[in-house]
Amino acid sequence: MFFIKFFITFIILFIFWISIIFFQSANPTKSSQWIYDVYNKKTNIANNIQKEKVVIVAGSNALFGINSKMLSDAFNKPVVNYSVNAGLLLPYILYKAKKILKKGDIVILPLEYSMYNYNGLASTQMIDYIFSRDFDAFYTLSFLEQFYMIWNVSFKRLYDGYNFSEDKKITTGLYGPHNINEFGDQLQNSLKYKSKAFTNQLDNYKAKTYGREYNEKALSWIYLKEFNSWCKENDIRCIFIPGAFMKYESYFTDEKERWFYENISKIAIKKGMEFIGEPYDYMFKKELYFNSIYHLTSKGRDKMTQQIISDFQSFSK
Amino acid sequence: MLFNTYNFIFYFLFPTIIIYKFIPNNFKLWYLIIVSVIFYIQWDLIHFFILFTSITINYIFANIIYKVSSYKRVLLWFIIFLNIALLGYFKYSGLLHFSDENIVLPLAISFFTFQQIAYLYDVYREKIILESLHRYIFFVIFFPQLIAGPIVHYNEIMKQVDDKNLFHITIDKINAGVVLFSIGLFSKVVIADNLLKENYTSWSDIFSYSFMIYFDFSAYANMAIGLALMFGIILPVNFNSPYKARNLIEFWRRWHITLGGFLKEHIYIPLGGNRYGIGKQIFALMTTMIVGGIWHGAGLNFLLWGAGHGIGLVFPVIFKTIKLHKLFSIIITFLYVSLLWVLFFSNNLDEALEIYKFLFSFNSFNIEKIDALWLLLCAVIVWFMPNSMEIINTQKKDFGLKAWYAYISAFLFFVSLKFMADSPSVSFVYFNF
Repeated sequence: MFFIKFFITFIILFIFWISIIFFQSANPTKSSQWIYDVYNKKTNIANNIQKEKVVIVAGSNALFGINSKMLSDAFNKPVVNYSVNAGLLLPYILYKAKKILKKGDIVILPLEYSMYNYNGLASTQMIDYIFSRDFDAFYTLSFLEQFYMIWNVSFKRLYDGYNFSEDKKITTGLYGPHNINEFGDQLQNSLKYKSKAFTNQLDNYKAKTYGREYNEKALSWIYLKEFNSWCKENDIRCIFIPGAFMKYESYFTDEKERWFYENISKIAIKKGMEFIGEPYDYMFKKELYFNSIYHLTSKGRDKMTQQIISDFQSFSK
Repeated sequence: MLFNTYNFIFYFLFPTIIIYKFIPNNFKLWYLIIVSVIFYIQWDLIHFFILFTSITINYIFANIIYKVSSYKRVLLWFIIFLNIALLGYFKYSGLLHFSDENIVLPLAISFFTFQQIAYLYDVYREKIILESLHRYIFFVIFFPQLIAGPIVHYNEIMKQVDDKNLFHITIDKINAGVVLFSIGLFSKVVIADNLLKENYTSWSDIFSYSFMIYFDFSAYANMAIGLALMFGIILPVNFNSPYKARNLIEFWRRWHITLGGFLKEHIYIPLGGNRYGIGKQIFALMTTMIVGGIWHGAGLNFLLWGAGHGIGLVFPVIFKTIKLHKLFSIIITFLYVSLLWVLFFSNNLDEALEIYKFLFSFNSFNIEKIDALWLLLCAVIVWFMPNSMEIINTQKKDFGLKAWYAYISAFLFFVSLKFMADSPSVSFVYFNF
């Protein structure tokens, strides 16, 4: 009897938990505001282009790391930088991209390396954003991912969901639509905006261990393959390239890390995807980064864009 | 594997209990040895070899002490010295810069060392009949109490193993175990971990630490007893509302009871205890507590922490006739213990003195609303609620279980699991020793 009571109480509490999450879904939180505003601005840019276009899809490494004007001139096509935040994770970023891609478009994905290691666990940003701004995306996830999402809503996030206020557009600070140009690129990331605090932030970062964490069976490959097939079905060319990443010695010296960066493109190609460029060519020194190991300064951005152009030119030859 | 992780609860504990239920009685001991080894190996394989070597050597010496008729005492001292030397090497060589290498303290080394010393002493006193190695291994390695106690005597546990009525799962034992485990898990992940602070610079921070370590240790004690109950073993009570103590003597009868008992039995009493007048008793008390302090860490701050507790213990011995109001005594004892925690958590004496200076400048009474609420909640639980050993009475046959405990423990378990999903697991304070 004890266990039956224990079990039933547990189930009731779980149902109660699901209910209170669902009742607050679609309540806009303050923390999700900037991403929402930026996506709205970028979606408008994309939807206003009537011609076949190039769309950049990734997290914030591409938001900071792509000079769309330079790319547009090189490719002779309109370019939209549709990258916002890697914290939204692979399933949502791809889901969102599908909404603006049209027949004949080219989608370039300079994904953060963490995206190749997505294992189904939702991040704080993904939970916050989907529950407050885009609840339809929740239903596109697998049952297990939905369970993880519901279970991982923090008490604080729940409180924020009930304690919401009406949308108030972000107009100040580094992140927000006011700092996005007409292509969708980040503004104000030149050296003159790089504060001491940002430099300290960069100093405090440590080398990542994506090589050690890499799992061939990670859920990310299912999403990537599905997205690749979807693009093919819709006459969209899908090209993966390396994301911008700060250079650390261990990426060259550690066996597992080196293996990862030497092989990630080969693995993608083996899985039927088009991958252009080598990760080491997209690792830049610290001075070219702005406030995180993924965010380039405007100078670094031009360097990365030049690398993309050059890789595409070599590839087409 | 920490008790407060999903891996432990879902991948280790659940399957272990379910399989245990179907294991024939003859193999249960072996089964528990194997799962305890798996549990320990999850941390470090090398450290497991240290544990295994320690067990083997101690068992060999126990055999010799048991069988020989002369030099028993010399042999006992020799093997105790070896045990202390091993513990001392790992605990202090890095801290005292005897070695340039970064020596990692093997998990549970203090507790398996103390438990084995207690065993050897019992063998020497002929209180134990020597038994097979696998029974001895089980006594040392049984995973619920391996890491941070309670420190148990051989007969206390092995009698239960022999008693067929006790050493099998009964539904009441599992239920009581679940209640205690849920209380422990809640105390750890919901209360203790949320009282952690980066810096302790105000009076409210000091009280936060006092409550943090209280809930952290009570959590481990409850979880250990609860887990053992799920496997049919009743472990001794190790924590009994120490902040309800009216003086330091009472405090040490309630805080880490089995460690206090170990120090009393092996240091305080051999030094004379209270048998040779007040002067010798004071010496015995101070020595015992200073050794206890140094056991926690090699710094001067730990020595003074032990000495502070020694003075606190001496005080009621000298001033026996002074009777204070109960409430006043409890408050004074709590404040005294809390102030001594500063020496305990500081990295060194200088840091502790800085904090004391700051506290006694009496400018540090600022407190956030949320902190005040936490402290109030802790105070209510600590001083106005029954403790877990009053809720689950391991001396009663039915453990004092009530039907509604199922609802409460399900609630505590659910909320704890939710908190665990939101934040990374934090190790127990006593795992560092």
